[in-house]
Formats: sequence, structure tokens, C-alpha cells
Amino acid sequence: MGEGDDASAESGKAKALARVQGFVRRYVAKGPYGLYSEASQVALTIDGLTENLAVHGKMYCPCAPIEKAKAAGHELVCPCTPHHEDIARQGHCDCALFAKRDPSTEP
Amino acid sequence: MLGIGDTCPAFDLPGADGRRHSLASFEGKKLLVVIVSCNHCPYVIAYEPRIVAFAKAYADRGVQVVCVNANDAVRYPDDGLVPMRLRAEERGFPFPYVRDDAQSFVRALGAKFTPEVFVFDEARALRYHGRIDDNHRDATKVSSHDLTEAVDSLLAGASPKTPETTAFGCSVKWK
Repeated sequence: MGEGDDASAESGKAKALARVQGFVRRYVAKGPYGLYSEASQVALTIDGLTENLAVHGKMYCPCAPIEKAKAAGHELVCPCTPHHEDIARQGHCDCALFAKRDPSTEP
Repeated sequence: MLGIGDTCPAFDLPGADGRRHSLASFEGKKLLVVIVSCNHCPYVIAYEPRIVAFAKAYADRGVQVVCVNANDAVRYPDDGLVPMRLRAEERGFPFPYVRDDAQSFVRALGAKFTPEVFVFDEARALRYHGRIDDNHRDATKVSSHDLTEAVDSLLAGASPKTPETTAFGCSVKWK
């Protein structure tokens, strides 16, 4: 890989990160869920979504093997199909990105 | 959730090797390293070679690794005992890989993620809890070898400099 390819990959990742961050911000602002309580885990999941968007073209859930996520079509693209059910059952989605809002921390 | 100094909860769980493994099975081992793990989590998959290498490197020094999978195998069939056996065989796990179907042991540990590490001393008191290291993607770019540093300290008779780090990965798949 040449220097130009590196720069192109970096630029692609920067764009992907901006898209993921924008999506997460909007989803939390308009949707029924907040972010998971541990910032480091949220950052890890955003990093995984960014990697998957940059490399595989979609925001596949980073908590699923990529081959399985691709085979599932849109089901495991964030916000994934099971996330409502997962949040209802355990308080957060399986990637620990979105979670039930905590009324005590809501403005 | 277990705090540093708390005692390891009792367990008696079936292993991918067809045997049962309990806390008493590891009596005499200087350290017991419990890693909450599973089959399908990409973070675990990335760490598996490092876990295997760690277990082999420290086996002669009285360090026993046990990996425990508590993920809901109804929603995630890849985490059932049969796929666990296949994984253990494929990867040549040199440690017991046990199934906590009732999720009671992993709940008692207070684990939230896979992989998440709990290191217990000879009296089975918790001495280190958290991540394996700080780079799941690339083992050559790790800058903080948290698990090995904690284990090295304990084997040298000292307390780990950092007894707790923040574990990360996939969430445990609760029922």
C-alpha cells in the first residue's frame, strides 16, 4: 500500500467516523434510548461501527462476527433489528451502545 | 459485583472437554484466572491466540486459566456446549472452557463483557479484574499488558500496580 493509499484510507475512516458519530447523536436526540453508561464502551462500539462502515460499507454491529452480520442482511446493521428487544430485556443493546434512559441523569 | 479482595464464588460447571470443573478442581494452583468468554464475540476471537499463549506460558508457574461462557445459547446457538467443544478443539485450548448455562457464576462475578478477566490468588481472593490488554485489534501494538503485569506481580509476591481496569468487548448475552 502506497502513501496515497494510506491517506485515502485515513480520509475514508475520518468520513466514516463522522457519519457514525452523526448517526449516534441523532438517534439519541430523537429516539427513546440514551447511551450506555460507560463512555469507554461507547467509544469502542463507535470505533467498531466506523471500522465496519469504512471497510465493509455498512455499520454492521461490531459485536457480531462480520461474516454473520453480512449474511443477516440489514438485521445486524446499527440500529439493529433486535436492539429494541435487547434493551427491553437487559437494559442495553448487545453492543452496549444504546441503553434505557436513566431518569436520574436526564436533564 | 466482586470487589478486589472478595472471594471467588463457588462453581461446578460442565466443560467442553466433557468433564465438570469446580473451584475445588483447581486447589493448589497459585493463581486462578477466570476469563468470561464465549464463541461468537469478535473481541474474544481476536484475543483467543493471546489467551492460549498466556495459558501455555504460565501453566508451569502454577497459573490456571478457566474460560467460562454464560451467553444465552437460545438466542446465540453458537455459544452452546457443542460449538464450544468444537472451538476448544479447533484452537487447541489448553484450559477448561466451561458452560454457565444458568448464568449464576458469571452474575456472581459481576461480569458485563466478553472477554473480562478475574484473577484470584491462592486463597481465591480477587486480585485483578478488567481487560486483558489495551489493544484488541493488534497484539503488536499493545502498550499496556494489564493481565500479564498483574500476574507477574502476584507471582513475585507483590500486589498488581493496577488491580482494576475497565473491561471491554461484547456484552454478556443475558437471558
